Amino acid sequence: MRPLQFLVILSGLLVALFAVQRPAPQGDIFAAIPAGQRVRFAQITEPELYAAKLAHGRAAPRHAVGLFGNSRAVMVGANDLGTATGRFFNYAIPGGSFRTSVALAEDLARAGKLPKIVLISLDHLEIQFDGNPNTRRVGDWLRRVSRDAAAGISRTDIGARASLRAIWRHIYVGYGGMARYFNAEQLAAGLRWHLSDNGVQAWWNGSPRAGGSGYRHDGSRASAKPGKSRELGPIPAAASAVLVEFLREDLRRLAALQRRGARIIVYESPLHAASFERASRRPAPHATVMRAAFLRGCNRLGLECHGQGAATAVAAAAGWRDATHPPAMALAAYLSALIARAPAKRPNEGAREEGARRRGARTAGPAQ
Amino acid sequence: MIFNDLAFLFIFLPTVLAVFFLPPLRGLRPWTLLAASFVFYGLSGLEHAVALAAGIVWVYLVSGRTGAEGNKWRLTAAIALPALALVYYKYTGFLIASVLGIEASASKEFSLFRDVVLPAGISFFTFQLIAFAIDRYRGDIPTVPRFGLFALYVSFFPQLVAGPILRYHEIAEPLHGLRAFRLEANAAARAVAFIALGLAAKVLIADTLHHYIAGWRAEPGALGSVTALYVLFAYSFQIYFDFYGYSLVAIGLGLLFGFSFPDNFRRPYEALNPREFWRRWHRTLSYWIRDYLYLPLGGNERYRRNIIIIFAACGLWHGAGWTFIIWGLYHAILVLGYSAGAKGWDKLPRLAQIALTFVLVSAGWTLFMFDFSGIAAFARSLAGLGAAPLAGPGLEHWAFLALAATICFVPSFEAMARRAGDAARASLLRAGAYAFLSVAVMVFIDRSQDFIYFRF
Repeated sequence: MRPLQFLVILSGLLVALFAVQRPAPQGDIFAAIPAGQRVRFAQITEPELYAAKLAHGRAAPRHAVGLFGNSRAVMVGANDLGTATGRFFNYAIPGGSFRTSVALAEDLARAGKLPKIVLISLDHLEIQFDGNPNTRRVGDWLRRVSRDAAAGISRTDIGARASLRAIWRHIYVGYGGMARYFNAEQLAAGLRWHLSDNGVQAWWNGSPRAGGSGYRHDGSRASAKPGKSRELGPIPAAASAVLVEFLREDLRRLAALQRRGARIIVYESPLHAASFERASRRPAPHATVMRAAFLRGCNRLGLECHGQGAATAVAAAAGWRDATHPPAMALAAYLSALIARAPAKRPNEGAREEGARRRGARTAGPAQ
Repeated sequence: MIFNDLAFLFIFLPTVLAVFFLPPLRGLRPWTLLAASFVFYGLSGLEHAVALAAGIVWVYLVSGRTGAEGNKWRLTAAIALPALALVYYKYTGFLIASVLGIEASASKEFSLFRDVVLPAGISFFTFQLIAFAIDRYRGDIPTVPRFGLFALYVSFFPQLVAGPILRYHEIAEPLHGLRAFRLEANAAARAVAFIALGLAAKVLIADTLHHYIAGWRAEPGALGSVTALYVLFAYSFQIYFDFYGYSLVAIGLGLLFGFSFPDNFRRPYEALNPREFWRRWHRTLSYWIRDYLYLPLGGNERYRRNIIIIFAACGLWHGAGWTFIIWGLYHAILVLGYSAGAKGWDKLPRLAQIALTFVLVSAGWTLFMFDFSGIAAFARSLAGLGAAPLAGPGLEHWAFLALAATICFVPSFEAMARRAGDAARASLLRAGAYAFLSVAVMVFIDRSQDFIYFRF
């Protein structure tokens, strides 16, 4: 055989492999879930869920409240929050990061559908979970890479080092996204999708059920059973991973969204009591520094931000799945309390620094 | 890094090939490959790459000097450091727990002797270092290679972690000719075929068998006798396709850079007797042991004693544990038994000889699969005394085992790969078949396991 022939045929087969994959959901796969029931999604990946929730947000009337985050927030439903059906949607993407939440909020804002109140879960800084949004669109990926690269060049407060680290993480995420296509189950799901009627039900794994785990029509996912006690032990301090330069940058992006008429509340995700106690007594030094930077940034930008200390009631609640995944009701009660607080005043463009200084004490997060 | 990983296939290998064949960097080819090899190895642990580098520098400093020929002190010194490193990394835990009988401490504090992480392939590259030192002592390498070429001989990534175990003279010519090397189309085609077939052997056959029997292996005492028999033979094919697949990929990768590695396998399960098996299975290890251990011990002059010593050493080379040593002694008994009864054995029909050898070798692999209690439980299951047997293999399992056996005994992957280099033969169809096989490997690669021989 000739190597060129091999390479051409191999390239063709790889293109075919990509073409056979199930496209990201374009329709609203949540709207069809009957109220009070839940559905498991078949082989859904993080970028596909992102696309699905974005599609729902675009299709539905603008929500009053939207909750963004990952598996540490996805369990909260409209009922838990006491919000009327249709006024709340849970935009949390399990596996996603804070950056994913910011990107999804921006995508919704571009469509004019950013919820009026945006609650965003920032993973507790002792966990040090960071990452870039995962997408199936090469264009979106390139746009995000170039934006972070440009930030490193043009912004002295970000710098080349942080920018390079962010780009490396984009490459890592991009590679992971590509590698996901090389999977027999994904290929089978793609073939099934092409052979089915391609309706939203093609994403469902079985019929809607009244119980068990699965997604509800409000975007939330019914939580699993509470964890065994050994999984609730104090989590160890994680090595530094969050890029604080980009955390500040993401807060600036949120502030820009807030100026467009949304109320944005960012909270540090709660920890179970044992971990909370460990994090309070012996916090990782980098987590403390990052929390201070987070709260300072929020202060300056006029965002409502809440550090770990605000969630003490959640920490003591029963029914935690593990040390970082709280029970839905307790988290919902906490979030309701945050919404009920008087919103922080927003600074004028011209007097931002002065306004931020005056409001310093009003931001809720306690300093560590 | 490992071969059965998309990052290796899509990022590492294309990058190395691109840099290697970049015309302005032609003069730096040995260094390109050396750097790539250390990246390849260092990605699994920087400390291990340092250990590898230390071994290379040490052996070169001691044996690479003029005057190493016939100098016993230099030979001893050259071998001492890599041998000690091998003992430290591989045998410390075994020596402390099994030989000295010291109980492992429950302390969570780091222990220099308990928390040892075995560097991948240390047994392989240590043997290459020792081979170089002995060959220098014997005068078989009269001209000392440049340091970069010696370092590349030891660390070359296609054969670094699981062989084939090379002698310096086997690759001296391509090493020195790296700068002038041109990849011909037929060699590239053969390389592609070797890599595709090797990965298919590993990912599609060995790993499928692994997934089939993993559940049963976890419960060796809860199997019916038929299930136990299935596990025995399935593991036999698994370990063969696992290591054979690795060796094929190594040969293919070598070809891409101008190296022609020796075959490590010659249809071992077609061996007519246990002695012949060792001329077909892991040949580069067998010949290493013959040349650097068996013959210096006196070879056939003290046959029985030497066979026992070399097979015990062979077992110990495979792993730090009594089961491995017993596995080696088991093969010594097989070889000695065959030698004693060769006249009778050789009169058996050819098929019976092959079947008997295969069954005896397969029975020996149980020492790789289980610890002593597992072996006892598995033996009970084989005898039909298993407790509450798990559900046995279904039609799919038997069909796949039959397929694996057919692939093992019927086609020759080496011949197929060599035919792939012939441009005149059904070129397009062949290219399509290899491309399809490659994509099939990629689709299943995410469930692939580490190569079994990485542990050794």
